[in-house]
Amino acid sequence: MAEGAMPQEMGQAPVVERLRAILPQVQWEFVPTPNDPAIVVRREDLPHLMQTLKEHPDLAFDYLRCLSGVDHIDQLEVVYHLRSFRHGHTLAVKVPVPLEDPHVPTMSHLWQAANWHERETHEMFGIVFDGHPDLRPLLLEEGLGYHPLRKSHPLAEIEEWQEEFLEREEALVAAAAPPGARAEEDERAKKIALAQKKAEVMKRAREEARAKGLSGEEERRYVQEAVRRFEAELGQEVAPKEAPAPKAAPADRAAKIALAQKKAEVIKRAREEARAKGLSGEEERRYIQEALRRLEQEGG
Amino acid sequence: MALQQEHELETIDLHINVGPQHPATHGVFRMILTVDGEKVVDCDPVIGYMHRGAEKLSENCDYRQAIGYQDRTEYLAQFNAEWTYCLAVEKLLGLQVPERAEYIRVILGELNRVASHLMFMGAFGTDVGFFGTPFMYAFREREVIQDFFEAVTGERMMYNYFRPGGVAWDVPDDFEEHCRYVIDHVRRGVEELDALMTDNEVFLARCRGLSPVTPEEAINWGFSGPMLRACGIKHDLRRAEPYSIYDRFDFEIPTGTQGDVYDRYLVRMEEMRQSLRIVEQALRQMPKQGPVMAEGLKRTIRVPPGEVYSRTESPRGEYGVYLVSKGGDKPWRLKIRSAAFCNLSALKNLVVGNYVADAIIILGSIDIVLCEVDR
Amino acid sequence: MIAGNPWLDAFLRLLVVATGIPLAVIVLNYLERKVIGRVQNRLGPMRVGPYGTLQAIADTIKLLTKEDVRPATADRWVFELAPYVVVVPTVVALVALPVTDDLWVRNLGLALFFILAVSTLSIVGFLMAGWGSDNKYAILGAMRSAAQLISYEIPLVMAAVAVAMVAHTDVGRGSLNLVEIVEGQGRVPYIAWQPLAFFIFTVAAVAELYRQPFDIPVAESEVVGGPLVEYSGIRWAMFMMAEYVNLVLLSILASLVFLGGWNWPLGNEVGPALQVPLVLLKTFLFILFFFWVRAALPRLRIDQLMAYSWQVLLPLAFYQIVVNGLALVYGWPDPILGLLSGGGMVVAVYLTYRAVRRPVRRPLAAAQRMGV
Repeated sequence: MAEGAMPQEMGQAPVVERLRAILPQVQWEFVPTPNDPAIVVRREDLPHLMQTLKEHPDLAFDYLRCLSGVDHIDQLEVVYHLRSFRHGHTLAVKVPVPLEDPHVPTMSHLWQAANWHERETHEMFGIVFDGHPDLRPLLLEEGLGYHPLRKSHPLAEIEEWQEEFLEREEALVAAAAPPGARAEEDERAKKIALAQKKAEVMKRAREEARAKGLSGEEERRYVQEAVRRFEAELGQEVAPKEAPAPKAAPADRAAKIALAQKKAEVIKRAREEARAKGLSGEEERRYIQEALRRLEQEGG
Repeated sequence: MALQQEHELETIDLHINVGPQHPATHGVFRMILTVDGEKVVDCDPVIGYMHRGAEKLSENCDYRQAIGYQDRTEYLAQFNAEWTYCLAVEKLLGLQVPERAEYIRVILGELNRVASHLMFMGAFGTDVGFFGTPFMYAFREREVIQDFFEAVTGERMMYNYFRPGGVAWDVPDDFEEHCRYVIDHVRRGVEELDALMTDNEVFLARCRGLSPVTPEEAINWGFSGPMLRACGIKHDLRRAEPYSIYDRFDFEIPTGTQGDVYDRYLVRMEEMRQSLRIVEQALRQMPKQGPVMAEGLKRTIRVPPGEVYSRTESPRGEYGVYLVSKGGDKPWRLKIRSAAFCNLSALKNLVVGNYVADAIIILGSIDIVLCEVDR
Repeated sequence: MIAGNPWLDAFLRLLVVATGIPLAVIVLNYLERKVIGRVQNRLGPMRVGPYGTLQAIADTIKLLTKEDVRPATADRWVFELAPYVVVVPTVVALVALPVTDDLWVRNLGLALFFILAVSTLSIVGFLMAGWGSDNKYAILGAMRSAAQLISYEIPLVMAAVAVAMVAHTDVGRGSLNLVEIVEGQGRVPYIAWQPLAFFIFTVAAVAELYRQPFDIPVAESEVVGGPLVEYSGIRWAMFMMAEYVNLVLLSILASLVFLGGWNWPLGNEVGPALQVPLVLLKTFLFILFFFWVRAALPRLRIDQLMAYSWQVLLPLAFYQIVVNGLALVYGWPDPILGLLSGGGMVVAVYLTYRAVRRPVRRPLAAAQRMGV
């Protein structure tokens, strides 16, 4: 791979050598990175450096590939990736920016490509590009009030905080609950194991039914039989978790449907009566709830 | 002087909002055009409607989870986006991707390029005013390619298949026959599409000579991909800064002459043919067996501190990922340099001075993907 | 037809036309979707009814039951009357259109003139629609549509008039009566002697009908419907109805004036049982051509469209009229006329071809200078 080699020592990349020859007075620090040689320069040297990088015929960096902001917590940084079409070499220029004075001179007069990149970096990090013709927010709404990509704007922290909070809550609840409920954590694992066993039983029963030549309704009934046997074997482990059930729910599907239909009838009649009486809104709802409660008390 | 002012016809420039909801803006994009009669005097693009904070979210994911965000950012050329990201991570880790995985990546990436260009043909044809015929033809081929991707990755669009170090799993057994079928089918479809659109007189009348761009302007404005090659610059990252195994393949780089809308269309049409050539060569050279994932990767990838800017040639241009890592299992900064973002930033230069009807065509010829622009 | 009371006669004939219109609209709507679907490699409507034949009826029901939305700031009467102003002239023009010798509502002596003049009134309707909608897109679309319709009306009329000039009649040459024009085409249809006029008429008809490549006033992907953007439900359906009725009108007109109507090749003596299908067949050929062109061509920009009309079609139409006049004065036989007109058509095709190939503006040298 052509440009993959990482220069081992400082200044081995030819473009950096050229830079050193052309601009000896600029202080910079070489950072070895894969793919492109990178230099760290001071903010004050930036305009002159960029102008030379663009216009000097031996450097001729006419293409601004990428302009990013990075938040290093103690300082911000602007990184420019440049390429020269004439010579084919690339360069990354990194400029550290102090947090209390986040100003960097703009490069949009040299490369128009920088225009939108600088707008985006400004709204995401709060870095002000002096001299930019139009520093409105690009992706975010105006007047947001904060800079999202800064590390001080929490994303992970909120989630971590939430997780810790939830864990603390659960610990409190578990401590306050009677000792029987201590098995909460095991409950979930047990439920999962139970569901897996049930699935196994169903699968085996289905295969047996198919082998016997049953299909459709008969197959379903066969599978249901097997499941019922399995649950009977397990006995009390399959007791419903919500202990205070309002009434014994009918296990038969048809009975459930009949119950639901009865409920719907009751609701419809109650609504009509309420409307005939002139009730509306909250009162109408309460009337319907009354009717439902009466139905439940009558049993079903 | 006062008399002259009295007799001048006072006209007001009309502000037209080619709004977020519009059949022709390829997504949720807003252009505020200031129009004098039929000519556009000013253009202010407003983006950000699809901004979902992919870069920030990626800082909270570990290195394998972030692949999903790359998919959703560049939703027409997903493999290229995943590839760039995986290249960045592999570069920092110093991983060597096994041969078979490289070939799989090349095949899928190039077919993804074809699919993306087919989508462009369909959408661009609709913009220019075809009643939907190129759209139907192009999508028939795209369906074939998406079927193929579904057979390999299980997904029609958000593949999540490339991983740092290789690909997630090996390809199915009928990969080669299926791929050859796809190549044949798509090749014929591309010729049909070419016959329908390229020499069409009305199409030429609309697109020829519209918004030409000089090479210097193109480089200054940050163009890449077909927009840049249409201006005559023979720059393709697969040749200029080869990544993966692209130096083993023989393909041409189509260029245009004057950088106008028609040239951009021609470049993309020819690129589809060249991509199919690459896929054929890759199929022939691919090792029949072998690992598809690099050795020694742990369950959690921890990348040593460093930074890298990796870039690939996506269908829209140069898709770059600037990855800064400070050790740990999550990226510190993941900046996505998307081609459509940079190409779109020059919209004002391209559109001003043309007619309103042409503004839509110019926008279509840039081939934007809003999620990539907004991330 | 029905002898006796002329009022009853007129009423019954109008009834036939009035029932024919919705039928034609429904059939053409379905046909268009199927034909365009086939060109685009898909099936078109298939679900509603066998092979989707009831789709148009389902769409009609939907449009009739839609809520009639009217923008609050729209100019009320202008907005609401616009669809009527668009539909009524096209329907009125059908009054003078004969289908065979005897199947007409009124056999006007000025039939051709009447039809073209009355159908032009629809332009006002589009302007009303655009203005009354109080919407920038609508106004833009209305301006464009008015410009386009007026620009293409002129070559259309001139091509028709050119043919009318040299129509063979019992008393000499020249007639605006459509029945007479058709009867003069017993042996040879006028397309053979006037190919240039045919070409101009067809192109101008495509522009009159707002179809690709001339559909910029109602362009979906740009001005989102143009003057029709604020209309919904039945009002929008009326605009569509006007478009289809106009399609039928211009297709029948073209088949009568250029292809010989019911007369060629079967002759005048054959009964209406054969003549009506013949006319319908020729009409259908034109309609198919319009559908096909719509599916295959993108749209021209408004300035290109206008330039084409004023700089190519209009001078050629003048040329055709002048040639016809010379033929009438000097008594040239018809084949000479055909030859001259054919030459004009070759010029027309060449000009069209040249107009769409713009010269390359900037050379490649710039890139080469840069050495990239």
